[in-house]
Amino acid sequence: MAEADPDQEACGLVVDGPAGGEVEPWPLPNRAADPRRAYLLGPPELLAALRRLDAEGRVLLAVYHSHLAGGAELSQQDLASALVDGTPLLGGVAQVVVALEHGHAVLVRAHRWRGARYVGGDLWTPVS
Amino acid sequence: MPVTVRIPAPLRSLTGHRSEVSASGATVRQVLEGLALAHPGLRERLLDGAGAPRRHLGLFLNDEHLLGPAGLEAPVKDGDQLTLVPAIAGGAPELDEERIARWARQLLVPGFGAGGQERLMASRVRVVGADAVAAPALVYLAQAGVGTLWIDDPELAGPADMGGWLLGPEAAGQPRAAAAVAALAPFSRFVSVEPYPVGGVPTATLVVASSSAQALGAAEAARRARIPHVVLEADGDGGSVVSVPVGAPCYACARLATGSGRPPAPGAAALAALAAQELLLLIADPAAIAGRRLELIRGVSSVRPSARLPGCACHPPAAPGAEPTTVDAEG
Repeated sequence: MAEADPDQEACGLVVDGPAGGEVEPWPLPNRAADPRRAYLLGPPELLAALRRLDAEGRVLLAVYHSHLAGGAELSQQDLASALVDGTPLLGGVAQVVVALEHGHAVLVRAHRWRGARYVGGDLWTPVS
Repeated sequence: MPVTVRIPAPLRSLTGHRSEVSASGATVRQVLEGLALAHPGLRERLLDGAGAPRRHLGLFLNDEHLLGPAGLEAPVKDGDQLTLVPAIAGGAPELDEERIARWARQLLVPGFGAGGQERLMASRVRVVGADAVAAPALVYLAQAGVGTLWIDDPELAGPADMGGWLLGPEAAGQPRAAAAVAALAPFSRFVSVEPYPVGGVPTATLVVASSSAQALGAAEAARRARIPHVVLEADGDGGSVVSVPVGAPCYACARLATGSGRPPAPGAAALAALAAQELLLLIADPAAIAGRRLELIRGVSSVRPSARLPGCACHPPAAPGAEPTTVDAEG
């Protein structure tokens, strides 16, 4: 999905699978003013997704987005949006970043809150 | 007027895991203020220190998205439903394509990446000492992309500084700082390299001093100013690198009081590379490493956590009423 549109950052939610099945990405539209350099989950679409989450009894595991270049670490802007007074806005929800280079994914990392900071771990690499 | 407020799943730990709570008010703002009073944990998520709504949350009144300050003044009536929605957003690293191409390899290093590079770009690094031992570290720091490199060395370049990583014969007799600034210019056009301005406040310091007294003085000044710092100690067989994040045991606690002289050039280059890497890690992710000492003796390296010496001034003050803390010197 992150490779589908090389001109804008992809974004969305990762939720647990129904009845213990595989986790699912729920792509959402990127409503940022400059979607090449930023992402904003569309608020109405996010509201609908959260309502669906409740209706289906699913759990939000992660928020994902892509960087068109620059790696899979959380940027300063990512951190500024994810943290409120130094603690995560969304407790228990990982931040997944897909790194693209020339339109192709080269690394996917999940950043989980560990006490005082996000700690990243590789989810996918080209050789995994 | 009682209004139902819907709480999104990720925020329900703040409302006792309730998906809906009731709050009263004539406007959306009053409802939020009432909600903040009833659920103190939620208050920090709803309102900032001045009582203004945070940008981290979006609001829907029934199904209408409320935008801007005007939305907060929207009147509410009995039976309305106010829904909180987290504002989930972020941005690409503040790196243009040229910089991304320049640092493409290190951007992919796990745990470093764009965030680390952004912090490097915003950093001001003071390097105390610019002799032949410091020269490789200066090159590494410039090439890694620190924002500003301040070189602090009042001495004149001498024969021992020539022919190494940085200074050539033309530097003889010049102030080392000025000669190093000139020599580093070609290494990266993204880095500002300057002599240290008196009174300048760095974000990190690398100490490669020519004497123990100078090293202790520079390290203590950095510790008192709560500036993360790294101290390189060269001796005849190799040397050590002491990393001092903010709050860690100080250099005086962690240093080795042995050795003298300078290692041969390859050993000095290895030491300087270690020191530069430690400083880059401290800048890129200040919580990544604890205070430690890396020793490089005849090509063999080892790492030991540093520990406070009893009675050292770097010991953090005990909390009122706390039991005395036992501190063991490093064994």
